[in-house]
Amino acid sequence: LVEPCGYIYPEFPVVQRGSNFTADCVLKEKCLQQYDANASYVVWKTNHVAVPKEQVTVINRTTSRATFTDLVLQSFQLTCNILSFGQIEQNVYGVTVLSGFPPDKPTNLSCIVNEGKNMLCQWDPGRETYLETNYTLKSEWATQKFDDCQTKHGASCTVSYTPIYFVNLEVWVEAENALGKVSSESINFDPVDKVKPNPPHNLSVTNSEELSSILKLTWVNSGLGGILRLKSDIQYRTKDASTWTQVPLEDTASSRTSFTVQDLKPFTEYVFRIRSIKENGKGYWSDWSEEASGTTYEDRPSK
Amino acid sequence: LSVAWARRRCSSSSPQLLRQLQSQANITGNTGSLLEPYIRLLNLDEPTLRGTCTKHPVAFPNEVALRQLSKPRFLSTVYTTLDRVWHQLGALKQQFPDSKDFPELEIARLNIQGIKNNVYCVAQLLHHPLEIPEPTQADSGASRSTTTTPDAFQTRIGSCRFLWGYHCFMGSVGRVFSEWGDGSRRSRRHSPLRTR
Repeated sequence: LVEPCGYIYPEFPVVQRGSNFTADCVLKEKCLQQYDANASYVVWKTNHVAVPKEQVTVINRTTSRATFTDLVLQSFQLTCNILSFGQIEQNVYGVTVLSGFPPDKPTNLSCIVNEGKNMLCQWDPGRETYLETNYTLKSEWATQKFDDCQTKHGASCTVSYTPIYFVNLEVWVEAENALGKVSSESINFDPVDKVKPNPPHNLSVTNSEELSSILKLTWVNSGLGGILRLKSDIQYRTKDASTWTQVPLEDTASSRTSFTVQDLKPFTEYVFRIRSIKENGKGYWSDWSEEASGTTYEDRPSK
Repeated sequence: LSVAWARRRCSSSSPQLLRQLQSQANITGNTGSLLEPYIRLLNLDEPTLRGTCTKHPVAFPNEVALRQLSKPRFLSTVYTTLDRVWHQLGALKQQFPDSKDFPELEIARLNIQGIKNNVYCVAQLLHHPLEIPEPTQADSGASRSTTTTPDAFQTRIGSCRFLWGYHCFMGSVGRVFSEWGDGSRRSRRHSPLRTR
């Protein structure tokens, strides 16, 4: 490979957008003689366009400096070229200048444990940085550190370890790019309070010959194989209706696997759906179960 | 990681810690979490074999002994016993080259680390910090192998008894903690856990 006749410093410039930036092109002595030139023969270019002379300063025989103010371009090619023998333009060196912002302090950090899956944490990364920015989710107990969860796409990360319940976990996010590093506030929680259970399943509907205005629902709760006590949210509608009727939440506030819906119209088909959340209301509602339908018994003919 | 760092990370609410410990003890005291899957996996699910396994639980501190201890001594006993269990379960892992064969084992080890963490935090609240090695990176996986028993059957029965002993121990621990929670037990030689 041909040894360059000089270098641009800094070699990997990353600049805060809107700020000023200077670069030095430092020529090698042997090249000055070889090309019968010196720093005053340097021609700076950005994306192949000459930099105006008023932005160029000759520092000494070997060094020419270019100055840029209020940088707004996200990235551009900056080259240092030399007029050898006063007329033939030769490229000496080139760099890519990147401009962007240091990361904002991540905010609104929250975590969710989808049942059966590992914990996912999300945060608001703040403004676009226009630079490659690494986000590292840190999580620790008082006596143990867990593997970092790293992402370059700034808004969420799923940890690699199985959730352990009933132990407080401290979680925070560190954001870092070439222009800076910042940490979010940490949150401290028991993963059991961040669970989104799987939906209830095996929802079944049975009617009652004695009472034509009721339908009995039974279902199976998930909830981490019984570790969690769940309360339910039940909704129903007649087959052709589009809006759901809500069973009052206070009626299903304790852990259960059956419920009788009353005051229904006789001989009418109803559709039901159910979802669940931890009994103390912490965590997230599950998705709705699969719908199940049933028809109330017909009214007895009055004697 | 300094003790101060750990104190900052520990929950400062003793009622919460005690609730967590009781929930953990419920899970780990349940033979369905480890012993039952082990018995099924190793084809020990047969009355006489089951009897051999559960007749002589491997030596763990029994409930009577645990109740005699002061709170700090109780915490330290639980901590060191669980540390031993954690390492022995690490050795047991070697009987299952593919962890998918016995997933409950890894979850049990993780739960044990969780209990140790909470025990450590309760000790902090009691101002009797436990002497523990530097906090470990999650599951360094290093396991001190136990003495190898002469043949496969003895090994299985030995491990079975160990797991049975562990479940019994955790049941006792859970009962002691539940009494801490409702303050029904005044320990002789130290101040009660101040609830907030």
